[in-house]
Amino acid sequence: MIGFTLRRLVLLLPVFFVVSLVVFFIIHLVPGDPIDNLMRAGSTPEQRLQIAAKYGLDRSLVEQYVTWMGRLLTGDLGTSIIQGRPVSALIARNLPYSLELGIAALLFSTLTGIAAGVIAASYQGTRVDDSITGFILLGSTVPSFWLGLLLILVFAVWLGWVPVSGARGWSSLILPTIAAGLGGIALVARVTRIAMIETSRQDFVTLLHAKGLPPFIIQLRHVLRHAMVPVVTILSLRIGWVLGGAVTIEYVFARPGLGSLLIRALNQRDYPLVQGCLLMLAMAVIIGALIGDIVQAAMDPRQREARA
Amino acid sequence: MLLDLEMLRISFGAFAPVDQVTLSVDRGEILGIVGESGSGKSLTATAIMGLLPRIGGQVAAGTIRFDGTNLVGLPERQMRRLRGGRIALITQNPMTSLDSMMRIGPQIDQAARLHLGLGRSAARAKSLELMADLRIPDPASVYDLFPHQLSGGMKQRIVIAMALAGDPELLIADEPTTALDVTVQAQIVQILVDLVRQRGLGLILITHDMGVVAQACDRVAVMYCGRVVELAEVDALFAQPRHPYTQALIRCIPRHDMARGTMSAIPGVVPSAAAQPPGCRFNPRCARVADRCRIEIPELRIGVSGNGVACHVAEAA
Amino acid sequence: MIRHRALAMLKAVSTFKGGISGAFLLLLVIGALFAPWLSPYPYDQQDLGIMNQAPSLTHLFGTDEFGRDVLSRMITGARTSLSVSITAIGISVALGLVLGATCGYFGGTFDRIVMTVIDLTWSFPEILIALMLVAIIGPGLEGVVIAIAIAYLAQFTRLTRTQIMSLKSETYVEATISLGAGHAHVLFSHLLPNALAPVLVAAMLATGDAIILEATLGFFGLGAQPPTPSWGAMMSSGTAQLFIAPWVILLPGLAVALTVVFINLFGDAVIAALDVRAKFREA
Repeated sequence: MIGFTLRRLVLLLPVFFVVSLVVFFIIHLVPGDPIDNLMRAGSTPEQRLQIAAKYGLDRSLVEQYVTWMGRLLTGDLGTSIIQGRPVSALIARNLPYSLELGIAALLFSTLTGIAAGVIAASYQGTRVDDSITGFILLGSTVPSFWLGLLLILVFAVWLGWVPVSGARGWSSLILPTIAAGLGGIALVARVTRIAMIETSRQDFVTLLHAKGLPPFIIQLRHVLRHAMVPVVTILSLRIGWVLGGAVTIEYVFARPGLGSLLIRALNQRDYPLVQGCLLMLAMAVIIGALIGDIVQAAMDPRQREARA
Repeated sequence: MLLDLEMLRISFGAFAPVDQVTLSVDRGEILGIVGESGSGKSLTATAIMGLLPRIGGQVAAGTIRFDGTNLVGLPERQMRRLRGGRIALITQNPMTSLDSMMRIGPQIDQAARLHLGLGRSAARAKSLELMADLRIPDPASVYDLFPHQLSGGMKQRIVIAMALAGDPELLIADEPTTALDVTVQAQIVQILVDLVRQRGLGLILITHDMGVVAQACDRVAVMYCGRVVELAEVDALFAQPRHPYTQALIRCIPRHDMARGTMSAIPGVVPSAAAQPPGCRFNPRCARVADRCRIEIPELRIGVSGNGVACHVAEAA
Repeated sequence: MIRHRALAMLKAVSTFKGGISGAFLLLLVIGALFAPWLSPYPYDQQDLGIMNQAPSLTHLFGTDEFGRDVLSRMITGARTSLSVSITAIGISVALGLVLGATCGYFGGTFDRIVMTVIDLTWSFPEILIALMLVAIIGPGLEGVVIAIAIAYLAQFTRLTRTQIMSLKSETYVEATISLGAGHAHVLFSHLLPNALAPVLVAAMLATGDAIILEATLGFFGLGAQPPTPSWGAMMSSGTAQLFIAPWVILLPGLAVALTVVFINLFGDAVIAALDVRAKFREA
């Protein structure tokens, strides 16, 4: 397992390289002069030269990338143009909120999704299955930000059960978690349901029934275990999806976090901050996929033995 | 009789792929059920196990008496107590019959813990003993392996051990050797025969291999298109097959002294459930077909000897 | 082939699900096409005297913070949302077909490089890719079209490649190649026509996702710029508006959700109608 993990980590290096390259070039691909993009309106020519020197824009692209990368590795992501503070400090302050919401949404959508999928598969073809399948369709078609707005309207404005926005206390986490998790629930439930139904058709399940085991034991102890393999695969592939949902939701609920930071930076054309946020989000997606990969390998006895 | 099927009819919606099946098996006896694929052999086994609802079917008529109790209409809870306990199933493909994510041992333990109320260590001891009985080398280490680490023949022995763990009285083996190498097939059949002789089990051996029938069975039921066309003792069946279909099946067994290029086959194909011919279902392929065969379905008439045939022509002869 | 597909469409529409969803989508497209004639008011007609009015008989869906008619803006917004999504997916499918067919047919180093990049983007959520691209191109409808087109490129490239690869190994194609047929002939007459159906079904479902993505970008203020209405941009005033005039936010979102639901239902019906196995099951 350790060898497998290390090999996966090494494979991440080229991925990280490509991502960093794309993020690095953002500032150069933007139409117009990168220096203009790095300045507030109305700056003097001296300030222009200063900024050019500061960001190394007077040197060749390769040199610029190497310097940028070097700084990156020491944790220096540059300075926000609008806020005038180090990007790393802004990210450090916002990251915990994003992690909190991302993990809450992931847990919520995984657990609820699996439960819904198992129930739908166990009552396949009945009204219970139909309503869960209907919910799955709805969950994957409702824009998550709109669901967030709807939840705010009903539970915060009309009923006044939870705070409208912000990130104070656990009660302010409930609505964002539901809104960010809905798409994930739909995805996990759909995959779980199909995997459970397909596993149930296999010979070994017939034999388990032939042993006289109670159906719920067969479903939970055997079928679900097999069904979890594709579920984890999908989750590891689409973990970024849940995180992406969280990005949108932060903005809706005016929660601090990388998502609101990124969208504000995009609207203000604060490019160093945009770069920093995108890099962090990309890393989160990559690391999430890595964790999913490792969990998946640990689940399958064949892979476990082969890669031990 | 340990198991008695009478006029069993299995239906899936409007179709009845199995109809008027009558057969029986006693303790210490091996009943072979032979027939081509689609003849209803496996469905009959599924019906005895009470697992038809899982695949969308049901017993529409007839009785399945096990040790005097009619299993048709028996509440699921009671059926579950028999399943894996007094009645056990061995499935066709050992490659897919084991839970690939669970170690071998606990899979064998399950039935003993469930039906005999054994604890973890008692069940383990029983499983190890069974594995040794089935000539599985080094049971203690195999106990902790995963299925993918075993060969096909070994897996089938594990499947048999799983079936025996609940101390069954009736064993149903659904094509237990089809998926195995020829050399291993004979070993598995021998293991099953020994079990019946030593433990006095009743065994229903479903196969399409007449060689296996000749090697192992006491009595044989030949099925065609969901009906039993001939029921006979194995010696009588091979010496004097009465139904044209049985005769054709026996002609199809290859022998080493056959002249080259004389392998015979039954002309035509098994009709689908939706396109059954009127009259005897074998009539389009039968060499001795008479006018009556195209109109009237022959019934299986069992004589005092316990042998019987469902054929207008054979009865007239 | 074409007759078979036309039959499949006919069959899809003749089912209950397919009929209902097809009818809704048709109405929506008609509404979008004839928006200027169908909307009761000009979409940009401001009347500060009737700001934030609740739905009534004169303004069925109410008015927004500038006193504009929400229904008129939604009809015109449908035009923006649909044309952006359809254009973007169209570009994406065209590029994906070319890339995927090239990779699948020729293989080799080119295939490996393209697939490495495709696999890389696969694990990133579309919204993140789109935000990255909007960061480069800048806000506005062109940016959104390009962002959505590239965000879904991975999906179509992969699908086409898999299709082409499995078709390529079929006996009749191998026979054609061994008879000395040119690459172009094999690709355009044998492979692409057969690979098209699943890609088009995927494209239809992706159009639904693209509508959501467009709405999300619009909601962030990165899509259609005022005064052009799009379903997403109409909701960009967000929570502030939610307390005063919730219909301004809720109705466009409902339109997005309904449209995507119906696209999915229609897609399901088409898949079911195209499925050969299903036909056998009925027999």
